[in-house]
Amino acid sequence: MHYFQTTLNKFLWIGLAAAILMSCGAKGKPYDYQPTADEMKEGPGVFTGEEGEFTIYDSKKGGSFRKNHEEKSKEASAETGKEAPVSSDTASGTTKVAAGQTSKEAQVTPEAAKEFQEFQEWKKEQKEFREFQEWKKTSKGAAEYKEFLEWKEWKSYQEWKKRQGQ
Amino acid sequence: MKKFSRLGIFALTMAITILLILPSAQAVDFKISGHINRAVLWADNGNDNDTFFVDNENSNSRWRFTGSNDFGEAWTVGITWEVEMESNSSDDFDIGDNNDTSDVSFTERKIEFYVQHKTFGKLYMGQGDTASNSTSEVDLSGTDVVEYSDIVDMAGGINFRTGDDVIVATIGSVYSNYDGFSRRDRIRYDTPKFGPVYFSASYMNGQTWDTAGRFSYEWEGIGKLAAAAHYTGAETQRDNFSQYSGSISFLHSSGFNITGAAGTRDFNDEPGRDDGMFYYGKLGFRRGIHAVSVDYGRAEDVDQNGDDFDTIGLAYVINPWESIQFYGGYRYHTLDRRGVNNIEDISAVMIGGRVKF
Repeated sequence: MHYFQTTLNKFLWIGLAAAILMSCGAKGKPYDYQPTADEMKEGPGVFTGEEGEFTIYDSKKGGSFRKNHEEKSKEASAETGKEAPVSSDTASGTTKVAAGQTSKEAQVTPEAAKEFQEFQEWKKEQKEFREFQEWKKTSKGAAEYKEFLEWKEWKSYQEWKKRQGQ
Repeated sequence: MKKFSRLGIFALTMAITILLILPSAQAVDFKISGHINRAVLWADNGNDNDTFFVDNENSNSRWRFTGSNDFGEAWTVGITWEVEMESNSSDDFDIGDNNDTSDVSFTERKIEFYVQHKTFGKLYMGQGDTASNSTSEVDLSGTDVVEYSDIVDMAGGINFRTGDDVIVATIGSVYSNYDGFSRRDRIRYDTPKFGPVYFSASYMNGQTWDTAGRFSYEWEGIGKLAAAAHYTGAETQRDNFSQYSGSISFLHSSGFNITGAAGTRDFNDEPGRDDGMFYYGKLGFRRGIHAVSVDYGRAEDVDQNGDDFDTIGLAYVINPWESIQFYGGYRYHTLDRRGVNNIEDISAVMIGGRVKF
């Protein structure tokens, strides 16, 4: 029993040290601990690729058994060149991303379509995409991302101004 | 009892109602994953030695189906159906067993669904992890596929014997890491995360219940810390004991890591029975694809009063690719039992690999 209490005391000291580190304001964040004794950490599998899972169906990314209507709509949009749902609003000089876009705004420039296609390709690289999502959640990431969008908007505006001057 | 039954029925009704009233699914996925974990185990009980070809019980071979639907911005409903299929579990063998332990064991691990809300937490129904499961097993060493606090997974079926070859007890019966209730048919609730912390509780057949708390935090440039602890009360029809345990692990940015675990069980219905207890410590280092560690474990009065069990181990794991691990581990076990002299020590070596498909 004595040994047990000594061990518990040690744990308490370690816990206390952790609490002091946290309260000292050492930069940090919570993370998701995944036990690896029983399970391998998330990541690629030998046959299942980057995600380590064989996707039978995924409405976001497709899969081995995608719904027919999704495939058809994807093919149709590819044919009409409307796959890339990015619009360039020449009046305001802003670039809008797919989310929140209406059909009236679907004026796609080849550059924007290419850029969006590259984004989609990159999104498929799941590991990198997950890192991006995590980064976006952090306060630093959110601020940097906002700044990047504002910079993009400003660049578009500059280009529009230049075109007006010609 | 009635109160808990009503609670369970209420929770189930709520879950079904939520499923029915929520809008249609926005994102659906259904996936298959798993791994194979095979090893060669050599052991010596002081009188004899033997070699076995085994499925590593530290993380036995398995596969699973998982699926989930997102409903709106906040709700997710998912399922997990996971089974293990072992041929010769590493903790089933004793020296002298010349045949395979059985044809194959095909066992349930998880058959459950969950309803999760971003604000209100996660509710599980079915066979799966109880709240206490893995609370003694937090480990950031990277060598836990071959050695962690549940040291009996490596060679738990091997018997201690006297010099005259009289059987005393198996390794598995004299050591326990009191890691709660593993996986059972239960209802479990996890709170949402409050910063680095969240809490869980589960209720299962036999009026048994458990509660647990978990912590994980990462400091920039310093390292990661993870910890967990559980408590379960006494005098249930199924598990007539009270028990608590916990574990903590710190991984420094340099790769050095330290892990500790301890727990105790109060055998309520056995007059004169001392509390069983264990503690475990591990020091390790990991860099790149390599991880190495040494550990020590001790258990007292787990099987009967007066038992003292000690073990030390050495482990090495290499991850040449993310989906593949190769490992090797050595473990030395000793037992002192009141009234029994001349108990031989046991040595075991396990070498194998885990391949995620």
